[in-house]
Amino acid sequence: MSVQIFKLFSIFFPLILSPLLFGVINKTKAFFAGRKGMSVLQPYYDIFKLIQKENIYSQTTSSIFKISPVIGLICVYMALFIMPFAGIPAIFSFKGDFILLAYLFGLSRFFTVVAALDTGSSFEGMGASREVTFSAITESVFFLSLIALILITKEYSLSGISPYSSEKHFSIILPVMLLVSVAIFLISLAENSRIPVDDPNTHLELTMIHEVMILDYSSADLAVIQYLSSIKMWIFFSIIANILLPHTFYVSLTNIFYFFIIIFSLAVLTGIIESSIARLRMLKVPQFIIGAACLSLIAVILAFK
Amino acid sequence: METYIEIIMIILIICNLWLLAASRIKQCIYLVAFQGAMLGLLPFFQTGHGILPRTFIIVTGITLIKGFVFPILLTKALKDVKVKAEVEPLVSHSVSMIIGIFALIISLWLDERLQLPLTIESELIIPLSYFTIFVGLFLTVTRKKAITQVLGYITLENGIFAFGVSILSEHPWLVEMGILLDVFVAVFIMGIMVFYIEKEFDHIDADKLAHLRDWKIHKNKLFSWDIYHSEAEEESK
Amino acid sequence: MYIILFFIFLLFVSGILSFFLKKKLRLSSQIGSFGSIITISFLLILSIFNFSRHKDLTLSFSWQMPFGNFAVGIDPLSNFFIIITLFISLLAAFYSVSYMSPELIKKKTGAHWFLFNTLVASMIMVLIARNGLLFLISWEIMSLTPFFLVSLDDNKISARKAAFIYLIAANIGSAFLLLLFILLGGASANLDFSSFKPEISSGILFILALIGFGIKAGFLPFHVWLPEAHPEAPSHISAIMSAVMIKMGIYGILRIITFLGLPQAWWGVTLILIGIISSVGAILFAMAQKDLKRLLAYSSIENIGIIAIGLGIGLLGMSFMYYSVMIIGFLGAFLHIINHSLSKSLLFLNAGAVYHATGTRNMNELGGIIKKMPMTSFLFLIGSLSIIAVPPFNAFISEFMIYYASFQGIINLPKNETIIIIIAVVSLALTGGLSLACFSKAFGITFLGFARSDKSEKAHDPQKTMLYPMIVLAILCLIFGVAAPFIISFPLETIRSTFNLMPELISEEKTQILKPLSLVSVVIISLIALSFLLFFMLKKIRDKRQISETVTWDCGYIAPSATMQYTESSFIEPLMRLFNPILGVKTNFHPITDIFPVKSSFMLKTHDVFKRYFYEPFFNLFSLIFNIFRPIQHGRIHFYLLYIVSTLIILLFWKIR
Repeated sequence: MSVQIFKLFSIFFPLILSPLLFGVINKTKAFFAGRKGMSVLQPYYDIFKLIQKENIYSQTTSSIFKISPVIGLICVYMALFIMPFAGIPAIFSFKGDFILLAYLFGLSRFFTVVAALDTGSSFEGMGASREVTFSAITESVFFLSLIALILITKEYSLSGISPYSSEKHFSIILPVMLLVSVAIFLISLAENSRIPVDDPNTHLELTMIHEVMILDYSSADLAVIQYLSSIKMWIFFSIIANILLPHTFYVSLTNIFYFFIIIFSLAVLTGIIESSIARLRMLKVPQFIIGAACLSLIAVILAFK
Repeated sequence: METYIEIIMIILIICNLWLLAASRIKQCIYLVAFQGAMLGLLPFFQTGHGILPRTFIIVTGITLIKGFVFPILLTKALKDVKVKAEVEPLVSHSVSMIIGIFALIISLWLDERLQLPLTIESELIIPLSYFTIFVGLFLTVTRKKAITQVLGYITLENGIFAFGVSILSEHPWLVEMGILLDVFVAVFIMGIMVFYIEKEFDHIDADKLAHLRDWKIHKNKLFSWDIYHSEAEEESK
Repeated sequence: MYIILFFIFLLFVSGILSFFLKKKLRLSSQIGSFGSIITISFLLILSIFNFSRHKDLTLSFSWQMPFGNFAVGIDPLSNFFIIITLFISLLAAFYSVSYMSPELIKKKTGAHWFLFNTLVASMIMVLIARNGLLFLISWEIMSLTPFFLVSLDDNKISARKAAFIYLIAANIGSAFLLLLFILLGGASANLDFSSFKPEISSGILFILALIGFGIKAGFLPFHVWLPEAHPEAPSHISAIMSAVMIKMGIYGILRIITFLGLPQAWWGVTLILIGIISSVGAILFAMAQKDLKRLLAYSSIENIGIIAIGLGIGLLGMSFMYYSVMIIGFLGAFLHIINHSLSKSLLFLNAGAVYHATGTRNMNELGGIIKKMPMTSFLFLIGSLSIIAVPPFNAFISEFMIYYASFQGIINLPKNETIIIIIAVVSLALTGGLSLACFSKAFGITFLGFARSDKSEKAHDPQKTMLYPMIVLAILCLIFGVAAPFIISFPLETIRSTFNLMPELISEEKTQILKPLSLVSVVIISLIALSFLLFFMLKKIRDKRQISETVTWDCGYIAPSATMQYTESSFIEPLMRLFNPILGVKTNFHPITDIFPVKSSFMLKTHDVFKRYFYEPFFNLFSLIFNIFRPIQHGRIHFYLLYIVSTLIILLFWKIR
């Protein structure tokens, strides 16, 4: 298969497979809780079920509320175009593309937050306030961890910062690679509102961040939001997978195989984390993110040597 | 081999930062023990020297003491005194971590400035030892409980040991043993002390030992020499 | 050149005429507005024409003043700033026709137009001056007119106070500039720009320029006047001050750098450091503000900080002769100058419209006005998206460039400089995140939700003359974001001529940057197109179905009220707590204690730490010292005359001796 055609396919894989990530996480959690758990395909059913339901809007809301999920979805969709797939360069790969990635997420976050404020509910205001607080720090940690990779690879596009292309000694590359992966994984837990930061399962409004912001959504809008958050998780996991895998310029089946293995094992890991530790107190969350910052800082220092 | 040393170094750095972030005393004890054990393992990964039987014995001894004896002693002390499980820092955990990062940067800078006339396996060992010493000092200064101060001392000693490991062949083992003995005695005495302090005062908060001084700062008056009087006042409230 | 001077003169004259005809309100307003609009548009056309001709204009003739000739000139650097200045001023003039309508401000109409036209004229003079003295005179006029404009509403105490703080800051800045130009002129005492031969180390001159122009630009330690003066001025004046006048500081720094030869590495490092402090510090303060315009003023400092980071990276590249870093860094800074002018003036004009309609700038009294003023709200949304630099809009492009240049720098520059650039990148990202928080607050609390007080009951969209300038700005924000690959040649040309680079170098860098930029544009365009597509698809689905409306989820509580919404302080409280060590937040909290709750309250107060812990003690000390001289100031005129006479006599003796 030609690389160019495969690149087009690489957009469809995440679009089709990403809800599966939530299914895998839920299955893992069910396994650790000793339950049989719902089907791995449940997220798909949920999305279809939601689309068929009736729309209910609050009287307070304006068109901001209606357009927000759309913009969010388009943002992550466009982000897929700049993500390399299994080590194959992305469709649009250019120097500095991760800046675009970070700011696309910024755009979708802005609309989520503003839509939450649009409802005029204090719960959603609370969620919005927490979201902007934590994401303000995670963004800079994300950049810090990428700087470590830039320093060792002398390259700055998502498709080019594979640590394997570095000229440095392996004793530096390996630790940097691992540290950055762990740091990005921690960030992705925070960005995708998973457990040490946020609990996707509670429906107690006071303890949530993301779930509480979308409290007033229903029907197709809610389906869009769930779908886009699964794609967002896919994107973060595939950043990690692309760091861990060597980059190729041809379609290598083993690479693709490992790529899926890594992404789904990260989902399993998330599930394990969710079933083994409790959500942090809100005051402790910055400490968690600073922890990720420490890891990436160590990576930067190592790469600097 | 170098890769392993590098990875151990990074684990140790993370360990130090975690130590600053840890909120439970038990967690701290395990972290310090883990750190000591890791440091003890380090000489085995160092190539070039070959491992002398004497080194082997001492290193094993140190690993055993730091990795197992200390944590057992401390856990026992912790159990005996039944204190709260939290660390109770004077400086919040996040700030501690940020200070930790600065300490790390400073130790790297120190390493650049003080070029030691040594051949070292890993570039990171010397900065790591500075860093560990800084963290140890920081812990002793900013943590309230006596037991965490003991942990700070052990961390400090770990730092000195890391320094020693890096210059294994030239290193006077006697000095190392002396320091270890010091700390050992310290742990022992502190263990007993902690126990008795608790027995006497119902807490092991080193901060509260300040109550033993003669005078007391008062809200209205600058200070009052009459400790009994002021305490009586407090009771009456 | 003569034509340009003539139009500047015309602009000035129309201001004066308007001032003297102040009795006839309509006429005065008409003369002032038509005069400014027509002359400004002519000037704008002229300067755009000039720019496309790639020819420098100069004019120099001797005049009655010491220190050289009356020298003026236009080169691409001036022209770049002139075009921005004229454009924003033109829109502001349109806006002010109804914002400052004669019915509203009565007798001040004449004064307003006089000051407005003088301000614009003096800004252009600053930009075309090629003689130190002329520059300083224009600079001084430019600094003085805002003093009167800020205090236009002079029965408000806060406006008077702000104006005085502004005046003091402006004068301190001018003092440094005076020293700078004297040193630049050297022994020859000729202040023509063409004859500058600095005799002392260029480092000192750079520092002087940094402080003197930095006060005008509002770099963080020197910023105190800015958040005081900008909110108090009428909104279109705030727009001019924020979008254009503070950029004069940047212009000054750039102009001085061209005199100083090859920069040293530490200049770049200093500029980046200042940029980092300004951007992160100012956005933190901006978040804490309740006053919409004050928030915007602080955000201007943040953006100036970002510009400074770009310039600093450019200077670093220049000093290491690494042209890729240099050109792209400067390009980012120059683009950000344009972009910030567009989006910040849009936001200020918008805030003016909100103030116009509701009579308050306090966010806690607003809310829910998106239903009453849909157009204004939509434009504010565009403005805030643009200022937080997210993709479809302009500021993203310039921040992208600055990041791009930093990454180039990280890879290529020596180790020590790399460290500072890494810090700059991280703090840029932090600034991005924080400004998202800041502007989601500004937009969300002001425009969305329920109305928090009855002040927004009567709100309505403003008249067309106020609305159209904003629409133009919003469209430009979008165009500068989408069509970036076509726009960069304009600042690139400026950079080329300012630093005398070879055209090949520029075109090389242009091709290098064009690939990412065009791909970014593709992504952005498809983003917009797809959003529309999906939105209409969803709308279609929605239209087919039954849609029911209900109240916002209230958790079963029967009587939710507008006061139960999240307020601006509560929205920002977690961030304030996080950055408490820097901000020194004071909280005033009376929690609920009893089982039966009585009244409880929570208040957040943030002081500007620099003002509180540096400037206030400093100036208090000054006032203490100068209190000694109080008795001299007793108010008897003939004694004053005596002082003058005695001074003259003493001077006479001094000279004779």
